[in-house]
Amino acid sequence: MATAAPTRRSRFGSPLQRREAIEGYLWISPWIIGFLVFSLGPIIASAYLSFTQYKIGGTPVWIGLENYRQAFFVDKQFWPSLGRTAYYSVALVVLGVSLSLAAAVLLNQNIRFRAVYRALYYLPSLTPVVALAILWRWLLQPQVGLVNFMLYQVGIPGPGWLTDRNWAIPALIMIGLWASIGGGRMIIFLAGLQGVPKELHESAEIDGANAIQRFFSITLPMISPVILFNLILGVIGSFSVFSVAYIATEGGPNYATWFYMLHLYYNAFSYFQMGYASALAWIFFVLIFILSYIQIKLSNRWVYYEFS
Amino acid sequence: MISLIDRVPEPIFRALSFLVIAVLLLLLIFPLYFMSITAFKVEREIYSELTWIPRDPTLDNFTQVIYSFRIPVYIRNTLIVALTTTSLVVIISVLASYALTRLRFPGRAAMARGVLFVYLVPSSLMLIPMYLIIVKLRLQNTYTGLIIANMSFAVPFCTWLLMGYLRSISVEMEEAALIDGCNRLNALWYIVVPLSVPAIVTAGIFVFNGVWNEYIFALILSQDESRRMISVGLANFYRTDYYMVGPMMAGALIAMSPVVLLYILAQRFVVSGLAAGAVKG
Repeated sequence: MATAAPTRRSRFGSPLQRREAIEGYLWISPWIIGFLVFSLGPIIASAYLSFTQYKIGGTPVWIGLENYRQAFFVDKQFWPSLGRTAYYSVALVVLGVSLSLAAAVLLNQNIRFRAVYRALYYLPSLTPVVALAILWRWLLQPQVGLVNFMLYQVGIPGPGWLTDRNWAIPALIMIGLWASIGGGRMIIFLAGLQGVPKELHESAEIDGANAIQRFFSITLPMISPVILFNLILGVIGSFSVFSVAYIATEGGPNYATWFYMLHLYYNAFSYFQMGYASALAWIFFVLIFILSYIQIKLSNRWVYYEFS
Repeated sequence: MISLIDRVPEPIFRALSFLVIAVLLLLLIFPLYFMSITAFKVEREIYSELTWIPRDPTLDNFTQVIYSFRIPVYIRNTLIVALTTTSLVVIISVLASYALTRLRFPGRAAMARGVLFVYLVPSSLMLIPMYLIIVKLRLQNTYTGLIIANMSFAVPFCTWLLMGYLRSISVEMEEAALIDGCNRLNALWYIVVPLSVPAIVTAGIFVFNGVWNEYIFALILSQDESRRMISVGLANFYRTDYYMVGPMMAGALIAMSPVVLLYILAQRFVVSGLAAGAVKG
């Protein structure tokens, strides 16, 4: 890497090196202080709270693993909310990452107005989540909404979308896709595609490989680290889904969109069960950690690193 | 199948891919277009028929949403919080990412790895502890409280992005300047910062947009009307008056315009900045 400098055996050998170390610590100190006070500290506090019964204004009472037992064995909405979240997340990530990649491949061709397309594709991802929920709630309104009107024109009776138990999550997935396909993820894919050496494609073409073969045996392996990166970020982001469901459906109809984060939110800020909600947050964190770890481990099989 | 596709003549192949690009464009842009025209329609037109261009364009929806819902106050609050957060985050992250990529000190490698880890911690884990800390410090309904909450997840992201970029740019100029007797801070300010403008602008825009759009922390930390953020204000408005489509679309359009404007101004930086951070980082 560009940073590599001759490594030295003794770290504090010369006054010059000592000065560099002091400067290093000094410059990073705002980061470290902020991290300790406003991230690590609160996280540790929430770990403690997860073993207590704690209502705002009261004092935390130690109850051991009771909150965790409650979550796994008693809470009727715990497993269903996790299942719904997994459904939403898997569909959104698989479809979203593939469609973003497809869009990036299309826009990576030598076409006119490429920058204009790229900019316009990006626009939906700039929509604030509140505006997103408001806009789509109206477009998907079963009787007077634009989507069902269009479907009606071509002779398809539209479903109840966000008001229908079975269609609510697919509708949210659709909204999520609309908002994310052309966003940062596509830009990152485009950058990855630009980094694929042209010579590889040219020599494969001479050897008789067609466009599809070239895509699967050159482009895909070359950008696999970028795909992995987008997958991990996508899973974390979609598992944390909250705002769009909270505003557009409030978890309904009949719990159909009661995702994990909504469950956590209502426990904390409607039922004021801070201890229990902290346990939910920790379960969530461990789950995300495991999912990311699995993805990284599995990636050894399919991600190709040029320099490793 | 593959051989069949391979036999498709080049012009047809190009026409097909152009068609897909155009259809996707239509699907992505049309809802936004529809939102925009609806904001300029009179109430009767919205409910009675479907028109693609407002027949009697009006600003009524905008005046209604601005006067009855104190949108200007929410925008002022959001601007104050977003601009302060962005400036502080950029300063802290530039210093930290420079130290982590250029200076040598014990523990550096572990810290550099820690940045990515912290960035990947979902901010929802912070929801309850951050709420409790802000309540404890009596910072509910204050700008400071909102700034602290937003910084706690913006700093790791920003540092991570800048580290990727700093690794991708050459150190030669800096080293030459240092040999010539320039001190570190000057080298950072006169050489590294100008070279990193794309990444800094990108990081800044992402932080600004993040604060502008952030909903859940704004919801629990600042419900008081004088310190309400635009996202919460708009959502509350939506919850009270479900059927006022025109003013709601106007409100959504107002809430969206600053981020779109900012993106248009800085678009060329975003592409290169994001690319370097994510692909090389």
